[in-house]
Amino acid sequence: MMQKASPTRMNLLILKARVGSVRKGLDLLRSKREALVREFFSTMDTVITSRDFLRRMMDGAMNSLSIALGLDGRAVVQSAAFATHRDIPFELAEKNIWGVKFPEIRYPSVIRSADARGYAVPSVSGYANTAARDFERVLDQILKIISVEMRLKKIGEEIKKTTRRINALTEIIVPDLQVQIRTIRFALEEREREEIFRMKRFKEKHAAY
Amino acid sequence: MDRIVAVLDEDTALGFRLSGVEARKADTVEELQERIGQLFNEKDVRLVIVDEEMVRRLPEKLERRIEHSTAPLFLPIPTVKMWRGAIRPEEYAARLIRRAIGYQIKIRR
Repeated sequence: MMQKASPTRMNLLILKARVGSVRKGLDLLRSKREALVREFFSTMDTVITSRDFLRRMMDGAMNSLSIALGLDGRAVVQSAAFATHRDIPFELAEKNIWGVKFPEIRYPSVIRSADARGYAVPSVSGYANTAARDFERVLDQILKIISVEMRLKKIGEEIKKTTRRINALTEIIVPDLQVQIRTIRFALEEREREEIFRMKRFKEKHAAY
Repeated sequence: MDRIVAVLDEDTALGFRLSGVEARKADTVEELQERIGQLFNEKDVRLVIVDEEMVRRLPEKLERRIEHSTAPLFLPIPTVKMWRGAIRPEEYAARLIRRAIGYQIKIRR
């Protein structure tokens, strides 16, 4: 709750000015929310499309893996998988847009040629090779998706925060300031009426002498 | 160096191993819980790939922790176990939106 201001003309002017600046702030916050919502929906479309693509890629990769497991045997695929291990030098950086920080991922291409996978190409069947290539594509798609999904989450959080601020201003701050303005105005009017009454009494008394 | 780890069922984990990523096996929710607990203590792990259907079955508190975690970042993906009953991308996005803005919305495409 706001502190009560003493009923003076100066305070009335200050409070009126404060209501004015709060309303301007509200307009700014509403425009910010509008821009964020627009961005949110365009990002949402990208998320849905990328997810759909990832699911299809995952289906394809699992098919390739099933074929490799069925035709080459688990032991062969597992031994190929041991040889393919590598470190992926990716970097998670922060990007700042309208004061909202988004994580952004930077990474080199993760799709390798068969001879760069670490195993002896003649010893591994084409099926295992295809499965490895398909999973590398899945990994590439995953790395692409992360930034977009994190962006969607962050924009959502920012919309929530902005809505909370707008609600606080419209539901609490502005009504409270208006009540204070009304109270001061009533007090000043009351003081004015008392003054007029006092002057009349004074005039009457003065006329009687 | 920052690492990527996949925590998935045996077959999917093998697939990710083929792509060169470190993959750990988690066939049950309990196993996944245990692996996630370990991953939170491994400071060089920055990205964790998990099964989106298994994440949904985790205790609410842990699910929220995963969603809000930035170190490591968790990315739920669709896997083979739910081949037929896979979550549609629209559903996944709708859930993500409900968590982000607090409203349930219906996406029509």
